[in-house]
Amino acid sequence: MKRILDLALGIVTSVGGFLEIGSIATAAQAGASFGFQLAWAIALGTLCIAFLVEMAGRFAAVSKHTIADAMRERFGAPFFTTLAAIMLGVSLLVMAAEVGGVGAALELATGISIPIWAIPVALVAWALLWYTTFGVIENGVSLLGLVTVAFVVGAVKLHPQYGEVARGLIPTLPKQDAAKYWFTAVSILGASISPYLFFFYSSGAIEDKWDTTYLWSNRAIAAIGMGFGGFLSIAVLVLAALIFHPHNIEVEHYQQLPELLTPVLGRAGFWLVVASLAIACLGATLEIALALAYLVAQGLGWTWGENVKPREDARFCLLYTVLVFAASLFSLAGADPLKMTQISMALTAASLPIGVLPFLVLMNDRQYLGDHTNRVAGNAIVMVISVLAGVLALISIPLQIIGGS
Amino acid sequence: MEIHEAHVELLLGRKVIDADSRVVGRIEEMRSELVDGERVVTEFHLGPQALLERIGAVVAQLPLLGFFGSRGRPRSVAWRLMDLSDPRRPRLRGRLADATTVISRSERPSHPS
Amino acid sequence: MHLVAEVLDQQLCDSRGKPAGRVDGIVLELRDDKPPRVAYVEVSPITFLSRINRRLSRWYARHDRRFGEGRGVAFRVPWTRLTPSGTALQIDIDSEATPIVAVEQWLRRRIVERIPGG
Repeated sequence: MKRILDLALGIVTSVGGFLEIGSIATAAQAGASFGFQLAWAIALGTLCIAFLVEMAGRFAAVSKHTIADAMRERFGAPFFTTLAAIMLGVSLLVMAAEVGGVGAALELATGISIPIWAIPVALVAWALLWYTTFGVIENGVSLLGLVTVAFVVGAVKLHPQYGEVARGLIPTLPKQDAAKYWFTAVSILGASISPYLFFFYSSGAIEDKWDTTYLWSNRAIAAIGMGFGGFLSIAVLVLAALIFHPHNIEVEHYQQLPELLTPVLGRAGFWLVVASLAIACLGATLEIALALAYLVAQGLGWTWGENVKPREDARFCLLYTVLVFAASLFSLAGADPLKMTQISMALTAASLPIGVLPFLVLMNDRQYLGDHTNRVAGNAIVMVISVLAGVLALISIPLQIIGGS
Repeated sequence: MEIHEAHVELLLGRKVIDADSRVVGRIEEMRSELVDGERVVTEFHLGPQALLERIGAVVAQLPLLGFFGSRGRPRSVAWRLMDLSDPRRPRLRGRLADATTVISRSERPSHPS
Repeated sequence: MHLVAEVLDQQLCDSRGKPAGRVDGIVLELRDDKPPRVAYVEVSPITFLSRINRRLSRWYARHDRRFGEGRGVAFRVPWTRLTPSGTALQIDIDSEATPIVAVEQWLRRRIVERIPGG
């Protein structure tokens, strides 16, 4: 019985924790600029992350190692350092965007500008990490994140042509604005497939003391949780497609985001968007800070753990502290959350092959996984999508820069 | 008595040259055994690229790597034939063909799990 | 025992089962007419950094001294004090008594303990 409750909780927290500024902003921009045409990018990204999350959980449950542990042990110190440096650089920018997202929500709610919120948001994030446990963060914040289901409610109420939406799930070539189309597709992939997630999930599985009896729950949570999460993103795309696209309005300012729900849900819609943004981005900030601290601490052999008191793992805790405040500096300096999101999502996509391929090597290693190594399908899907994302990023980013965004 | 030391982690990946100044391979692994109560290095394993051996049997078994031929296959060198007087430039005492033996698949290292 | 695959970069735990860093380096004693002896493992950011960039490692070593007694040089654990144990390698020393955890202790004293409720 407990296992079933755990499973349900796992699915629900995956759904609640799925959206963050990257997925919201890129889905909104895609819907506004291209209608339903880019739904396939969300589907592909969701498929890939579902596989990756399942792999991360399986790796930890079977080998009793986290991915960072294995990367240091298997690939050695120099390779680990290069990989960690890239992950840290890219993920710090994503975290900066998330802090900006919380700030944007607070500005929408209070009128007080984002830079003033930067440090308070960092303090709240820090306090949650310092004083609470992994369970509180994983479950508490993610359950609150279920407020993002409002996007699905809104989308359904607008009675979209589901057939049209389904057509968007098939990849098509753009009729115009090709550079922007591919750049948006790349940003969607970068938003869905975040490498920090597998450091987070494999560490979480160790924090929760998973073993091989959890493998089926792990598969269910990855498939159903990520699957429903993908639906949430598509809901945002649908809303933007129905509300902005017909009027040729592009999403360029975060102030436009409440308009996704105000037409359908009125004033309540405004507060639902604000709450969704604030909670989803706060959750993502916590996750990224932990994921990066896990990566460094595990790779260097430090004591680590959210369930461990800060005085027992000082370096780990001070590291996430430094990261959270460093991320807030961008908003403090006045950086625009939407711009930060665009840049960080594109960079994430570009870095995907570097982050994912070594992970795939580990997932096929019998020393760690015994009989539970990857099947051909899993390897193929993840490899193709990640390499595709990387190649598309390398082509579309320069084009977008030249074209002027 | 002067103690002469070498660091395993700094030898890793270094090119080994033989008596004819040919590149034999890169140091990828060192096998050790307990002899008279001490742990000692018995063999050095050399290969085409340090990284491949370390990243495991999966990649090494990919069909592409058959193209490397005998030059590229992992080789083992007995400790006596490795000259580490300059750890930055390890030298083989002898020639590639005489001083090394090819390592079979079954001798791949095992990792703690 | 394969030194690179089974020892280098592996997690160490101390006599109380607590994490005690990773094997950042292995020191061989080279002898005439005898096989090289596995003498020590090194646990230190200095050793770690020397695998990436020598100069960076030397720069760091100068600053590492401030963390306490025994820092500023790579800490060596004699090979005889190591045994494989589960997923890690165990050393039969209490890490709190070695320079391995000096940075952890320094940060604990100077910062963590000054924060309320930690």
